[in-house]
Amino acid sequence: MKKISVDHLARVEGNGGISATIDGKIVSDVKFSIYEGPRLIEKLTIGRTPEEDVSMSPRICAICSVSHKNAVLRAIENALDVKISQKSYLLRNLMHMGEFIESHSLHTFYLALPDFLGFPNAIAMASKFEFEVKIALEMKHFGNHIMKTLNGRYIHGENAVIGGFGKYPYREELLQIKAKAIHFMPFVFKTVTLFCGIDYPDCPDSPTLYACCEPGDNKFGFWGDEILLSTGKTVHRD
Amino acid sequence: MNKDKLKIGIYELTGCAGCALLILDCEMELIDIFNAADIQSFLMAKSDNIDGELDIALVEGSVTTEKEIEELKDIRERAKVVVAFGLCASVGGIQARFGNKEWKENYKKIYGDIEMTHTKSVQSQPIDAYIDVDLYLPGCPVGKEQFLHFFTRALKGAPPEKYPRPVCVTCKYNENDCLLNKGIPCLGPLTADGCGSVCPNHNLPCQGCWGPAEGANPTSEFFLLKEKGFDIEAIKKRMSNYSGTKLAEFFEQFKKESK
Repeated sequence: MKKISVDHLARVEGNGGISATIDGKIVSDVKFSIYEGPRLIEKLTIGRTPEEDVSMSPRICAICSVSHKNAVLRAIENALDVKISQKSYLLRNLMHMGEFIESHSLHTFYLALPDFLGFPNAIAMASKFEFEVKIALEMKHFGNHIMKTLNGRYIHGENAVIGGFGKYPYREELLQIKAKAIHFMPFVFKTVTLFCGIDYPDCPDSPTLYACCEPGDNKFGFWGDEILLSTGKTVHRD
Repeated sequence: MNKDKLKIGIYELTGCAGCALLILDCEMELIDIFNAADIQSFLMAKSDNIDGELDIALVEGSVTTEKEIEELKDIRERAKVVVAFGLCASVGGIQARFGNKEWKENYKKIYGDIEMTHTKSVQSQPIDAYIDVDLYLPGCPVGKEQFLHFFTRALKGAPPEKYPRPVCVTCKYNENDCLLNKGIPCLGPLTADGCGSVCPNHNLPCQGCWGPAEGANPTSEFFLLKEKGFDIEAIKKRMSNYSGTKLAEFFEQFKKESK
């Protein structure tokens, strides 16, 4: 029987630790601790103008600040019965994609991959995987560039506001984003191949439950009033 | 080889982790950053962290638990220079708006009687409430240029460039139309610069997220805003969002002078 305890989990966002007892193949007494104190954000937004709430809410988390931004905008626009144009809707979607590209590049290559390849960090990986590390950085930069174009800056941008945007991007900027996205496609496939080739350790598995939102038009996506589950169940916002 | 390199530790307390992420957002400079300095501890980026003597400790986030107070004191003992990295470390962040009594009431309203199990939570405070701080780099999050300027200067042993002006100054350099003249309540004249006036550049009012500007003249500013027909209480409320515990200091002068 072995007791393991990791006081500070590395390469994750936020502060936490984990402890567990391992007896052969049986893991028990797993304790996961969060070290960050309460911030009482629920109370911070009360008594403020809707604009101030939109500004403060993304500060919940920097890594997913655009998701928080889209959520708070949707909530407030819904409450105030504000309709946004199709153009704004598409641009907010693009902004969200920027976050995905940035965050996934960070997560896969910088936070997760060093563990599987046996390195302490991604920069140390560069000696053996120079191309991957450099392209991952470029792809992360591309995601950030999309967020900056739409939201004003990388983290906690303020350009997406109730009703649309403070300033809309130029057509040329959007066309550049499109060209860049096409440019990265071969590397995206390479990434999938790389991650499919990793020898993942065996671990007890429970069936994964997938969820997504229904944005309308019989599509699936990351926002909408209905949550679709892989069990076939649909959960409505209300 | 590492002997000559500056030993740097990057630590996260409570916050959104945006200032630590900001360092990883320096994509084009990241490899150089890791090569130029000896990054001893950076939990978000690496797993081989060492808690030893440091030349510089960058601390982001505000203090919200007793465990964090201990950690912070330990960092202070090990580091020659401690930098309050970002708004939360500098002023306590958005979460430091409540006074102690109000904080306790609000905690109860949200969490009821549930307490943290491994440590005790305390009202959010900037790091200088517990330790001596050598340098402040405010911002929510710290600006990328601001960090890179700081880092390159630190490598040469120079202190960071100060931004002793409000957002308003940079906004004028950027030739934006003044939003206050259009009747939009903008915090540019009262807020510390470092963001490059990003909100007014996008036709949006400054939200104040770099905290109060050192050397701003709130008294004169408030009279001016009053004259222009703005609601002073609403402006103060807005200003308190990102001023944390430093708001009181900021308004002390105003109170004295307006009497």
